[in-house]
Amino acid sequence: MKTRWRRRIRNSTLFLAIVVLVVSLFTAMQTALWNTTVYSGWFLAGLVVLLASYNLYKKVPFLPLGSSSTWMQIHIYAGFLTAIVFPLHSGFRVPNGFFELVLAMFFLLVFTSGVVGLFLTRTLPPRLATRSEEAIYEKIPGLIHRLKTEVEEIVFGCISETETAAVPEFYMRRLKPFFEQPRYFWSHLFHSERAFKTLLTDIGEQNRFLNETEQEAMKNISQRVAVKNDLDYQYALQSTLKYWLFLHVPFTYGLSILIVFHVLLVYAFSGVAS
Amino acid sequence: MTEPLQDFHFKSNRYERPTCDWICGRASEGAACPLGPNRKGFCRHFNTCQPELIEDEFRCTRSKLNGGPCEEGAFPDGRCGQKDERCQPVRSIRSRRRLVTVWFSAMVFGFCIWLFASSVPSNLISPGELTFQHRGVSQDCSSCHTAAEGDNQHWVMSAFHSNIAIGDSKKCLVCHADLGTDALHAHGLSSEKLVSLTSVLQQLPKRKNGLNLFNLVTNEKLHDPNASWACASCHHEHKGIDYNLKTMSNDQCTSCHTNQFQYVGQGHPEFTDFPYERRTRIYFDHNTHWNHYFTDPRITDNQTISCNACHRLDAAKQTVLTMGYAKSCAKCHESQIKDENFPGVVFLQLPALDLELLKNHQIAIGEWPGLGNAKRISKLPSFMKMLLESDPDYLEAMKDLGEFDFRDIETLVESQPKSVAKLLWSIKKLFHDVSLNGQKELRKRLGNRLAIGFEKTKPSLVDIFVLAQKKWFPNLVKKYYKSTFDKTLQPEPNIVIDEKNTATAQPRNSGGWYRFDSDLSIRFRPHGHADRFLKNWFEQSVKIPNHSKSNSLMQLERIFENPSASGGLATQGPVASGRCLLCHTVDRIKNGSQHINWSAKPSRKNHWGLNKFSHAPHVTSGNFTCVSCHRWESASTQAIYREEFLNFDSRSRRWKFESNGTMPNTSGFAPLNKTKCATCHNGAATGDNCLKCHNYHHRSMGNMN
Amino acid sequence: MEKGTAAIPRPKRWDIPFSQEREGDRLVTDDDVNRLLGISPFCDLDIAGFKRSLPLRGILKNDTRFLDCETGDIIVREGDWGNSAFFILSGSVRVELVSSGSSLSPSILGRGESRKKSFFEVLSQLWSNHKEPEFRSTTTRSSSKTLSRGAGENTRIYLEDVSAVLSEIQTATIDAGQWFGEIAALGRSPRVATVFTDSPSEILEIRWQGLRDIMRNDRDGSLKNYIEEVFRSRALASFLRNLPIFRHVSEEDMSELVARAEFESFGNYDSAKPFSGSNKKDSRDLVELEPIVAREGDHNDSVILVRSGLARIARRHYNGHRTLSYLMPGRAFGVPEALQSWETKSSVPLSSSLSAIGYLNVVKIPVTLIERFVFQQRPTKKLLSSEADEDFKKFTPKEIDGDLMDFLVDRRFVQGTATMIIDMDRCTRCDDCVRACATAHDNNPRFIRQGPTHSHFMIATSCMHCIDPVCMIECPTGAIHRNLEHGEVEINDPTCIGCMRCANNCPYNAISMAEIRDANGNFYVDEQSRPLMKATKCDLCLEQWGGPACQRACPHDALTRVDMRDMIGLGEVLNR
Repeated sequence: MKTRWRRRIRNSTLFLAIVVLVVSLFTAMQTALWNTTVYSGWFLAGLVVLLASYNLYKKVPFLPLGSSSTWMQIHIYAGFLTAIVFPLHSGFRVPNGFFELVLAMFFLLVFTSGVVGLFLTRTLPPRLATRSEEAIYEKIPGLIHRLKTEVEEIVFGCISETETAAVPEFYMRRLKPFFEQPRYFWSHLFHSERAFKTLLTDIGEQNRFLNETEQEAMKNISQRVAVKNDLDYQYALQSTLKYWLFLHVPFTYGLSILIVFHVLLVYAFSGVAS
Repeated sequence: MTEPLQDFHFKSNRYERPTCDWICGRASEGAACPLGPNRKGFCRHFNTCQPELIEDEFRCTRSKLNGGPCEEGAFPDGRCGQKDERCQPVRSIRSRRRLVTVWFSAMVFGFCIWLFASSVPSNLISPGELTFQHRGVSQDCSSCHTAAEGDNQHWVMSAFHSNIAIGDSKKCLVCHADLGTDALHAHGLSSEKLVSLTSVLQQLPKRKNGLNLFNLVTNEKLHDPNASWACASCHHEHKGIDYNLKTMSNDQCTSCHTNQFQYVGQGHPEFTDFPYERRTRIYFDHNTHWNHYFTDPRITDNQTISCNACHRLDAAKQTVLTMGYAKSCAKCHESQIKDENFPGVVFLQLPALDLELLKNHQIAIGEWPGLGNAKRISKLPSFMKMLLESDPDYLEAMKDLGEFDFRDIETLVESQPKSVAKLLWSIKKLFHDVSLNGQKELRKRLGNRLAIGFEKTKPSLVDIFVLAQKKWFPNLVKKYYKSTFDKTLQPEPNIVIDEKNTATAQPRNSGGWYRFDSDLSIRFRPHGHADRFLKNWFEQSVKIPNHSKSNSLMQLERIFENPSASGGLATQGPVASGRCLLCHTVDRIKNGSQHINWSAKPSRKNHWGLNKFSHAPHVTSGNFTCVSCHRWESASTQAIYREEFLNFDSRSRRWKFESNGTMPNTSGFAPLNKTKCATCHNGAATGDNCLKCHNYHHRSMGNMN
Repeated sequence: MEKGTAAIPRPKRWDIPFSQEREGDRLVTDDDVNRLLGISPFCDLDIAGFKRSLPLRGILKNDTRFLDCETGDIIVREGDWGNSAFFILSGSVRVELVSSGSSLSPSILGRGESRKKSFFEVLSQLWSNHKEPEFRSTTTRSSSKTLSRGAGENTRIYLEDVSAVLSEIQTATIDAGQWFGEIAALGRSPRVATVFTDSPSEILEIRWQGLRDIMRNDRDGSLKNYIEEVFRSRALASFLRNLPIFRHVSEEDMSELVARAEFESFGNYDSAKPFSGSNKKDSRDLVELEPIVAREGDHNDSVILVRSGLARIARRHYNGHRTLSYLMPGRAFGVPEALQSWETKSSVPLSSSLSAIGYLNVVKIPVTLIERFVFQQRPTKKLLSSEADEDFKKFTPKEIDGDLMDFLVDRRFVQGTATMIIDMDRCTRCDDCVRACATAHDNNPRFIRQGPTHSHFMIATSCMHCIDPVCMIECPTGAIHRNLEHGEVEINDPTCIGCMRCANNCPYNAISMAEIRDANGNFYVDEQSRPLMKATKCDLCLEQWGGPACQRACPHDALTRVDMRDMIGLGEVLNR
């Protein structure tokens, strides 16, 4: 069996065991009149700290703190564990206090964004690997720019060679906006070729108006269009892979702040001390 | 297009530096300069310079670092020949993310500060709606939370105090004062009580089945009798208007009560003395009544008698009460109480004396009623003693005589005759004084014991005295007095006697005082059931601290001892049906004195209020009648049952009253066991929650302040 | 657009004479050649033996150069990667007699001692790392004790006080008219000892090809015999002794093996230029270009043992070849066939052909000897065949598919002992690896998360610490060297003069030249205001704790450093 599957099975069984333990322990303590909300609360807070500390770990990769992939596994499963502990803590109720509600919303946002992120990181890379050559995200605009200049050279070539302005006109109308910047984000993300195909057909349509040289030029252009499209694909997917963290990370920090105030409030106003 | 976009040659392919915050603005054109922006995000590419004037010619001053002086040089007017090629660096994606994070966190923090700085209480930080019971009370946090009793700083500080919860619970008790002073202890019981209860618990074998998670997490605090429990441990507020604050699971009970069981049928301790943890206060033999009397047509005149002929549910429809004497007993027993043959209770009695004998002893008592066929008494009635005790002569005499029995007056030794004389004279003195001074004499003599309220009795006791004196010592006041005590002559007593109402020698149906010449006694016959004077008198007499051996119960017995016309041995004297003590039991209470149970109503004192049973739902359900639970004990238990109240001492040929009321007693019914309950309460629809039969708080939540 | 498919120009020999490879060396003139031909051993050579295409004069003219050394110049260092032999024309040199490890301090030899950081040093990287890229303090740049003469590629480091050194260490003298360094040259193995001059002396340095051709074509064969003798006695025995199949061979048998073993070299020996040009995906069958050692279907009369270099095992596949596997030093080829033919007593043809990737040094042992010393003395056939199978299995992992194998071998990634393979199906492009690398190297990444990709495997542009580190050839100062205890290839920054030789030599572009900066992030510039460069590359985080940061920092197990010698491990990585 492939190692990744062995690991997945091992970890998820371990996870289930922990869930069972936590839940039963919780119910037992609840009946033994322990103040379970406190314990579950601190447990939850601990989990959040553990989860957030992954971010800190990445700042000290040189310390022998275990491999990042191990941390990732812990991060994922601990994340799922919070989904069990949180309802236990909140008593399976939507909190009806304003502050508590905000807190819950934050938690929910962080959790869901995490799950979505997990989904993305597992599904997008294989798709990326299927298209064109790998390009480093930061380099993509540069490469697109290079293609643009190449295309423009071809276009200018046409102007000088033939008097007709068919190609330049078409370029200005149709291709320039395309080459200006990465395009078709959503259709790439959702694996739709439509926009690109229409562009190709438009290019194909042109041929009837063109002479030999222009057709030759158009052929070269459409090659670059294809390459650029692949770059757009890379860009769209890689941005998605980067930008989901813009939700996950800031809300994590927000959540931690809210938690501090929550604890303060709870200790001041409720019977946690008993 | 076979040519790859990018080649990896080391000269054209530089390190990507995702750790840098700023990226060259030209990177988007694929022409990032190797120098790159500086840390502040400014382009570091200086191809321009500030030309300086050297011997009236502008020279390029570009530093070596930036490639040294340029060929173009400066314009004649001193401008730099190069055109500025600086770019506008852009933030790297990571530094943008960091920026967003910082700002967002700052906003959240600000939000919290705004939220918490707003005047407490701000319902924004309230964790939720109060229950409808409480929201009416107050919307002000400080009425339940000590933390809210001050400014923001105060509550922030109070977050670090240890026992906020207990403090807040005290606030609960302001309204729920009915939970008592120990409200925060387990069950609201005092720690002493808890200690005693748990000590019992320790002896019990723990029924633990293996390694049980509940045992693992057993809360040690649960076993500390002095532990205080915050209300919030069980009652969680702020969970919505119609949240049930009083839910409590069986597991919660059993977590402390380590004898764990699923439901009543399984593992619940058996009822040892339920419901009869003591004998009934009224001696009532259901068995005999039901099976003999009520089936006797002469009594019931052919109408069937059901339980609720005598019993009814109380207002709360929980406990079943007797309907009391008037409704339940009077029909048969009133006549017996007003027994015409009952001579009445003796309050005063002259000892019948053999005057000849006294002469032999040179005891001069002067005038004394002659010895009729009166039965000789051994002692004076206690009421008479009470009257005499204020007389020093009497006391002296009694001191000398000790336990003196008038019947063995023949066998007197040296000083005793004198004392006897003293005693007898003091009796005559009593009669004399009362007939002279009337009520105030009695008051003087009885002193604080007037409580019995003899004055209200009709006809007046004084009249009886005067008449008795006139009958028994006709000349006591006139002559005899002076000669005997050579005291100054007293005036003729002139007490007005209401001739009509005055007691005659004949007993009468309507109760009251009368003289009984046959045995020289003054008696009182009850006006009927619960005669106030007798009741008081009994109360009084059982209160008498028993310094002498003769304890007060004996006295009570003696009160009823006098021969009665009715009945034979079994029903003679005190136990004659209709006599008070037959039904009204007398319990010995701690300090040795005794208590007469006038009413059948059970006092709830020695229940801890932790149990509750409501008859109503059971009987009204229609599935049950009284007898489906209260079954007769196996046949002919009458004798056994009686033993718990009175038994016949064949030696002294006397009925002894059992004065120990605490012994468990079935009153003729088979004791109820839990199996009866378990048939229904087994987790089915009827429910097996502990709280069905138990209260957590030993005082039921009643009216609050 | 079609120029991509243009043929790779097959490199012509002697495009650049050896003496022209470095600027500053004096060109070898015909006079020099005449002079050389005048002296022994060259005068003894029989010129007639040489082909017209490969005359002795040409060899001497193009494959040699003169080193004019002063006292104390270090000619070769222990552990250096050399591809040339030395002949002392005048003066004398000292060779350090080493038991284990040179007693000369690495810094004297122009190497920095690489040591693990202390925990605090590791931790302090959190704040002490410099914000500016490629920062070098002026002190670190001049701190090294290394002394050097000459400029640019001609730089040569030397010992200051030879007499003092001589008093410290044990040396042997090699006088004029003697060879040294030929074993390393022919065997493509690290230099075994440090050699320095103890008097001003003239030394002839000759490319190994030159030496090889002289030995091949010299009818008289005196030089050949001399060198082969030295070679057999010093190198071959110890090599054979370590091979698994000769595990049970007795001493005297072994000596006979050594005596009768032949050794051969194939392919282009020195730098990797010719194929680095072929980095673009090439449609043509590289096997055809490679020198064949043993051809599929032929009858094999000897078992082939790889001594150094890489060999490709390929099988004809329609009109091309499909790479089955590759051979590392210490592996044998043709054992199963030999065994089978011995068992069946019939001639069994080779099931696959063996060709040299780049250069290859092999030792051939006649099958008869194998039968006598190995097969016959083995307890049972069964055990033997199983052993042989197991030996064979090791280098044909079934789970690696053919295309991938072709890719790895064609591009010679199999050279790597720590090749960085990124599984693009898992890589989320989060750059954690790069940032980790940067954090571990004073905020400077030491690799580029990009490179040739096959299906979903990318070989990132990072030093893979080759078995045969061609980058080390021709480093003038020895700044780039193998870590003697671990074998990683590292660059000693202070002694690096930025000559770009290593970067140019590296076929994988794994070495980047970085402009170094001061604390304000300005380049250090030389007199012509050209920025100063340093060669930089992955050092496998030698100084850090817990191995390569990049691999540990990958959250998705996408990035792994693979030792290509361990085929099983490779298979696991590729099939995770």
